[in-house]
Amino acid sequence: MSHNHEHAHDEHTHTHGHEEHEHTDGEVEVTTHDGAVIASVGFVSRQPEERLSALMTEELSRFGRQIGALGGIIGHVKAAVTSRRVTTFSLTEPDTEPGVAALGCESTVQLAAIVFGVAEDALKTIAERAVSALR
Amino acid sequence: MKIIVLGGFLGSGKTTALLSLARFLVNRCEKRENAVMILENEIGEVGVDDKTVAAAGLNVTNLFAGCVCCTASGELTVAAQRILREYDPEWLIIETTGIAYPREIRANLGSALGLEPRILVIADAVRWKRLYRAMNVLLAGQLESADAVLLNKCDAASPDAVAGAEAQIGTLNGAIPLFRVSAADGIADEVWETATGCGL
Repeated sequence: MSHNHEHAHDEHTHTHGHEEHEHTDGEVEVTTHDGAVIASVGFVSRQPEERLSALMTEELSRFGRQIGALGGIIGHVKAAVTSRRVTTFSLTEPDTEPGVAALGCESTVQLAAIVFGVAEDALKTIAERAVSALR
Repeated sequence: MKIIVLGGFLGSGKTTALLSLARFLVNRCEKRENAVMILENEIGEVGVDDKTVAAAGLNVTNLFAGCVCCTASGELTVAAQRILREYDPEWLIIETTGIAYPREIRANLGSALGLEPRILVIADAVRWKRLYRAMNVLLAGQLESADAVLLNKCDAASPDAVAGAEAQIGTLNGAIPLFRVSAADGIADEVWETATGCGL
């Protein structure tokens, strides 16, 4: 099922719209819910796995410092990295060893930041900087 | 189908606790596929927690419907009904968003499915004091309907912080069992037996 909708109700209010597929376009979407400001983004990175892991640690730390510097409260900043590494094997002659070639790594990153006390455009800017550094 | 609603504030360790809970339940269930299923409700537009759960080999459905404690949202009950119909699991664990009120999810499921979920709430011993100062309405609201509380990250919090959180949670809902845990190090079966009611 996929849909886009907005709704509000008596106990608390929020607005959002989404489609049910994995986002990888690198566009940071910012929504709100009950005082929380939420940035979500999915993108593809071609950084080598180990480098991406180190960069992710740096960028999440930076994310936190920036939120703190704005006087905001971190609810949760989290990311999932799914990596795909392709290795090819090739044999063209009998009695020989297959050639092996590692063709690199492509990672899909899903990042979500849920914070409080930070303006939507400020959170979006912080998230966009992180994406730029990680891609 | 029995349902457990796993609630608690953002970053309290719900997903880590969920993995331990799921393993506990899988070990207790008859050995069949999909005996334990997970329904993830993520507040953003992307899935992060579902990747963690799926990587552990669990069958997970994701709901990007915003916060499904919303009484106006039928998506939770539709998803739960579909899971019951298609998989007939013994257990369904619903991990809420970190700003959900589990009592409303219980109300939704009760009226739609006639099922009474058990509510387990994960509290963050490290951040409890600071978060309660800023968000006491939400934290108190999450706890008020809990059947058990797991006070998590006790390994990383000072003894005073743990004691303080425990005391305050006791004033908010003193009638329920509270367990000091460190989900990252694993949670004992005895805790889950009591928390889930399986040991009764």
